[in-house]
Amino acid sequence: MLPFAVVWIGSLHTFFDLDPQQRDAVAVEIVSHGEEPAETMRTVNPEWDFMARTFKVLALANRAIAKPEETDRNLVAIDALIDATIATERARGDEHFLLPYAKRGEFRDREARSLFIDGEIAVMIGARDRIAPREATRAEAKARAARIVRAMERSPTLSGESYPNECWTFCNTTALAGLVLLGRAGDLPSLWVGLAKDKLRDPKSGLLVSSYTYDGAVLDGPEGSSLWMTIGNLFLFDEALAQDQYRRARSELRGSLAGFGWAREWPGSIEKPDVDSGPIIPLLRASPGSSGLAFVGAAAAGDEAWLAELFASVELVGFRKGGRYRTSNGVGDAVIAYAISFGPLWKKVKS
Amino acid sequence: VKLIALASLVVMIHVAMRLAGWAEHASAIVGMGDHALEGAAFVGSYLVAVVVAPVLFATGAVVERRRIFPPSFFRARRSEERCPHAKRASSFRFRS
Repeated sequence: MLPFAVVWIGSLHTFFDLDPQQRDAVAVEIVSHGEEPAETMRTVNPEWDFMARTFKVLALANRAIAKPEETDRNLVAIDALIDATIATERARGDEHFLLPYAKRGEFRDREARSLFIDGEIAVMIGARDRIAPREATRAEAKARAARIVRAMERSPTLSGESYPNECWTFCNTTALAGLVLLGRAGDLPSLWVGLAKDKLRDPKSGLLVSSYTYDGAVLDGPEGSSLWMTIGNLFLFDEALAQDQYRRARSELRGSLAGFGWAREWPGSIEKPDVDSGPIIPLLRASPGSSGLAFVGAAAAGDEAWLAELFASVELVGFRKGGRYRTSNGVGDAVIAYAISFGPLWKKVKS
Repeated sequence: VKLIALASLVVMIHVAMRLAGWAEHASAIVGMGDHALEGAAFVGSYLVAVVVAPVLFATGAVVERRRIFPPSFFRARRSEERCPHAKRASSFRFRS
């Protein structure tokens, strides 16, 4: 039995490999749906409803640049998503897309609003404008960018709050990416990176922490679900730090067996499951949240070997129906579409 | 036979779950939906069917092959191949 087990398990991944054409078909299927009903997803985490829109816009923008035949169609889809998101935020407030604890207290910066919301809307508009500037959102982009810059510059950690007295590297690097896309970053990215290298690194692993207070006290150490996206953002404005963080994160968080790949949420022996990590799969310590966003980190770093393993895993346990994975949800699918499409937008900005 | 039966049972259980629509509850593993138990059970049965059942099938098939065609069978065939005259003579005798 043992020889058969070795041969079968060792070759199993070949039945689940996704070639580039198949990956592209998955991305097409995911981005072809615009704003989708998200009530079920929102009962678990309303942030996912918002983030799904961001990832989908980024996927559409990358595809619009890479495939000129899709540009017009994708711009229409991007505009619809941005307009719907801004309209919903105006009508229902930032809290509509935030976890309930957003109401538990005041922001330390009394004039600030959630950087999570402002940053991702800035990214969406900035990505759209890099393909073709849009007059209808110019004022919106200017206001959001000004609010982000003001919040970050007056903070002792050069970081805006996503929740009261809670700053996230995910949100701050996303906001910085938004500013870069909008051409309004100035020297903020380099200043933030300098501070992050000095004060926001876990001393043991050297990885960037996930969340911290307005004054810089660490709340959550390194977490894959936050770090992989942070790395993807860093590739836009500090490739050296991005490469350094990817190398460390891959070493600390990557899981791999017989051609299948996954990501752990925490380095070392830390275990603190939450809504971001998802339920941790015992023994492997695989985290759905970290594994999903690892697609973005691996795609950004051009790590095709691990990306292929991650795709084999999601094909094994994702139960794909058409281009949608049953064990995923709207935000998970959008992350995968973004990872499949990753590259052209950052390249265009840097060129 | 027991190994093959067990593997068949595992596959049949998974197929039955799929036909009963439990696949639609698989999203429960990321905290979605109201059928967490069905979703987790479906994913578990699928992984057993895909990873374990083929190994049981293969092992069972080899064991059964040995039972139907014991090593002595192959030794006999090999001796015939080494001595073709014996085979021909045997055939001749049978025909006559």
